[in-house]
Amino acid sequence: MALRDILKEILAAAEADLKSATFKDLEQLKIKYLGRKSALSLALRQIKDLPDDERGPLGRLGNEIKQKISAMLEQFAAGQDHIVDDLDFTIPGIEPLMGHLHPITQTIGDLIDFFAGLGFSVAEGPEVETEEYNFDLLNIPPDHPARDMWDTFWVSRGKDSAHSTLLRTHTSPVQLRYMRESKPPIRIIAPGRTFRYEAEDATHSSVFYQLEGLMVDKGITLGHLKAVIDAMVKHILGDDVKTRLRPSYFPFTEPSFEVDVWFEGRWLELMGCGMVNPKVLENGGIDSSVYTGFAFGMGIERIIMAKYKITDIRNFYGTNFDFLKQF
Amino acid sequence: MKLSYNYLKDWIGFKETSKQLADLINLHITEVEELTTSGRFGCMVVGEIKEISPHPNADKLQLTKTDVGSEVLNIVCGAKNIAVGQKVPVALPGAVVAGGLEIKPTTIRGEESFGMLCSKRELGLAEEADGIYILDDTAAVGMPLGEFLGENEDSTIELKVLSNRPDYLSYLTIAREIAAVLGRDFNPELELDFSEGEEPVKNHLAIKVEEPQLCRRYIGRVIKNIQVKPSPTWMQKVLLASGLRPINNIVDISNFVMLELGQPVHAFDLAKLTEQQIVVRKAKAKETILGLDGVVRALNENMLVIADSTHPVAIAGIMGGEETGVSNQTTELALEVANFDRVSIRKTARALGLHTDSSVRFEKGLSPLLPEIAMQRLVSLVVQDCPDAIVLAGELDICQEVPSSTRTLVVSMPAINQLLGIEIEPDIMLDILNRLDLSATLSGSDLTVLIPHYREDIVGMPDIAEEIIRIYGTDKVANVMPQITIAPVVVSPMAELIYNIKTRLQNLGFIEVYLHPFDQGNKNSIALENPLNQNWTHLKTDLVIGLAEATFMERGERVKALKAFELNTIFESTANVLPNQPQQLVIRVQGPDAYRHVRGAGEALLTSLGINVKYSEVAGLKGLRVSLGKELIGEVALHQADNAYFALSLPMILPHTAGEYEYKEPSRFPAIKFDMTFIVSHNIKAGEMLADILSADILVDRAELKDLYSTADGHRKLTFHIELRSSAKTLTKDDRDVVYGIIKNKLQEHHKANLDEG
Repeated sequence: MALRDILKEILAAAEADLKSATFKDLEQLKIKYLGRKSALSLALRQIKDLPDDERGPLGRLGNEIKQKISAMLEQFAAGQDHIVDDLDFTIPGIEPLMGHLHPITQTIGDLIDFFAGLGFSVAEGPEVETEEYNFDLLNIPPDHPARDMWDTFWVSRGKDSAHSTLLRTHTSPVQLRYMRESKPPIRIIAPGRTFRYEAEDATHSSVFYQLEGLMVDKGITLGHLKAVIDAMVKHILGDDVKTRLRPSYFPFTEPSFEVDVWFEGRWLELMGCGMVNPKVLENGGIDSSVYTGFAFGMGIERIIMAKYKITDIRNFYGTNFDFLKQF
Repeated sequence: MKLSYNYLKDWIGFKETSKQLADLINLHITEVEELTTSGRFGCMVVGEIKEISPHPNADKLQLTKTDVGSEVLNIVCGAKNIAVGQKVPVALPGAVVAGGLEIKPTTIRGEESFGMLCSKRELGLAEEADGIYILDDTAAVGMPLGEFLGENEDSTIELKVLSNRPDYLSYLTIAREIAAVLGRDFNPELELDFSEGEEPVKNHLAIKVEEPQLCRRYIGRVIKNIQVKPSPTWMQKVLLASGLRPINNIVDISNFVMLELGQPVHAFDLAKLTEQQIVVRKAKAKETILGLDGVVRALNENMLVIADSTHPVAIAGIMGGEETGVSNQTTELALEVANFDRVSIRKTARALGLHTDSSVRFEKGLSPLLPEIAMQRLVSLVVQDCPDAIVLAGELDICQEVPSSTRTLVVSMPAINQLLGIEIEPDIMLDILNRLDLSATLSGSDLTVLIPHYREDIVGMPDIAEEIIRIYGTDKVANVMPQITIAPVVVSPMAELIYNIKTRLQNLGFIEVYLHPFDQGNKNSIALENPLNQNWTHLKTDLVIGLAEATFMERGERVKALKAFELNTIFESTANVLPNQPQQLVIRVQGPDAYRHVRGAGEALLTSLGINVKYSEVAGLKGLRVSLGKELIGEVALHQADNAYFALSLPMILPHTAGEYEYKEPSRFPAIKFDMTFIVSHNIKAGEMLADILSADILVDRAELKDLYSTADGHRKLTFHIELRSSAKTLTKDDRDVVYGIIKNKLQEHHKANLDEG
């Protein structure tokens, strides 16, 4: 018989067998049709000895039949009642395939919900940003040593900073974009992707996510900033953590602070914050003699890493299911 | 900035340990990056045992949790004499115990250990020891061990220099601030006196500043008859603890003045300056200089240099030249204390890749008044060390306009309290400001503050508020939730759509991934000017390739069957300043029947969003284009044999997701179900047949492809499962036969499909 017909007979036989089969027969059928010594395997092995012009088409047919039979067997297995012994209830469950949202998505989603509860809206801005919004309007002039705080990926350098573009180094430009379109009271968070020009290792990634917060109104104080940050950190890391502020410097806030969290026996540097610099309010079209505000910017990966004791930031941008499936 | 603990302690006269001091600096001044102790007790601190538990895998070992001040560490210990609450010596990673063992984080029988509790033997304090050395109660947790044991070792406190505080690069400011934090009186008491000889300096040195914009001030002096020798031991100790290597008295004094006042200074060997001239000018093309570090550097016309009458002798504000530097033969010094433009220094340092103790200070911007006191201090220290030295009469001071030593800032005290959310007593505010060298007086509710020349960072009320609150303590500000007028929160429709899509895909069993946004680009991509590596030169215009070709790993092996998606920004260049930055979704399925699974998932997603799309074939694509109305919104295709993807542009579908979902009343009547099998020529499309069945009659409620395979004679056999249902009545066999016939004829007509009735 020609090999082509043998293959088709095997398929027909498999279809016939499956019609009358029960679950107990499944393993036997697998061996019979897909095993190493099965007629199909033998036939497939013969194909490679055929002349060139026959090998291609028959090879394809053989593979199709093999896939079809394995799919049929799978389908059959899925449709069968697997409990073979109705007295043994210690039998393990069958796990469904779970989907997983990335931990960054989950954390940002959680924080959006948390801040919605405090009356904060969500604002957005572009990832390729102008130098003007990323630096100048945030009170970080060109050639100022403060620029060294942000290692920058440049996209193109125009003649002036309004036309010079870069990958935003922080979510802070969203503050300006929002202020210029809105009037106080302002309460926003701006989660998003940010970039730093730096070699990657366990604690540095050229790509990371930040969550910016901005509140501007009459009479906003440092005490308000402390309260909101403390509530946010407790929401994420638990009620028994403590926060403290340490003096720092950011050109767009004055006074400026770093936030430390006392978490599992150590002080952990978490984020920067401060009262919005009057120059930044004015750049945003807000009268700094009437309004004050606070702002903060938190690294999303950093807080997830603290919470779960993740030691390598590169996991977030990798393809390791052992990591991704845990969230 | 690295600071010697001993020097600060002697100067200010406090009792705090280096650990306590570091904590205070951290909380009130600036971040402490590192606290280190040199010598044999380096990296060893006093720890307190907080918990002890048995080691699960070793009877002779115990697990401790030991507080070392900055954190609580897990440390495995083999000694039996330990108890909770004891203070013990802890060798931290980096420490070397007696016998030469270096401590590293390790795992002992399956338990992590981040240090070692030490016995007297391990500390080199005794030949033999019985158990861990238990310290008395005067030991403070976190204190460097050498300090506790009374070994006169110095500790180095390395602090972060905030980029608006160049004066944090000086002992003087840090000492002043520490004194303010401790509430101690502070008197710098710098020795500035010296006497001059008769001979005028003019006869021996000429200074010309050709670039007054870039060199606002240049003070020069000449000292004769000096002796080059090692510097005093106390000075060497300070330099060492501050991270500088002692070289000779002149270089060391120069460095010491820089550390003390934050003002870089330089000493030339006067005899080696051609024509005894100093010219501050830009470098000429092709000029080079051999630096003090032994490296020859090419200069260009943008770089400011100090030259003699013939060639450069220093890269201004960055590094001196080797040839005119101080050597053992030097007897006459030309001293330079200058002020250089910070932007110029910054650009030159970056261009040369040369960042020195001097350049980092100039880059941050120094006061043109600082050279006056620095020159006095420099000369006074040289004369102190070389009693035979003769200081030539007079100072060469090439000076553009120099600002006044203070400026006045008036701020409202209630505004400060209002910004901080606290009420601080006026006396306390005044006290803090005065201790920080910000002379303040109160008139009415206004504070009048005299800002010294070296505090350019202070320009307004919030700056004064910061000075007050950081010294006073931010912990004293009560946390108060703001009171707001409630209003609906706004989330953009795109953000809603993104979150919606992601959660639906999660429900469909997909795993979300975030990949890097860079690739090697194509003709439409946006290039980075400074890519990190040659594989990441452009921004992605499409996420398909990145996701479809990613290798997923699980338990160390390549994953063979998977469902994954990525949703992120892509970048398309436009004529505008900013590129288009739309969101793209790519779903990937790998495994048997990948194409059908990914298409099914994409359709399920779109249906759930209330979107009806159309598919069309296109040459060259192993799949279909997906369109909505007249717009192309994505594609579904096979990437490789068992690897298929569905890609969608979010801005294209967003406008179509706004409509309300249309509710359909479920039918109360049963369905009639049957299968139909057709034999068709191999080029007939299953999708088109299915579409014809679905539109064959209003009673067709559902239809799906149940089976498909190629027959021996090159035809295809397709079985469809069809369900008929009416919302108005129970269907009869006659109804079924009518629809059956319609379908049969329609498929015969459109596709030459033969019903397989056998």
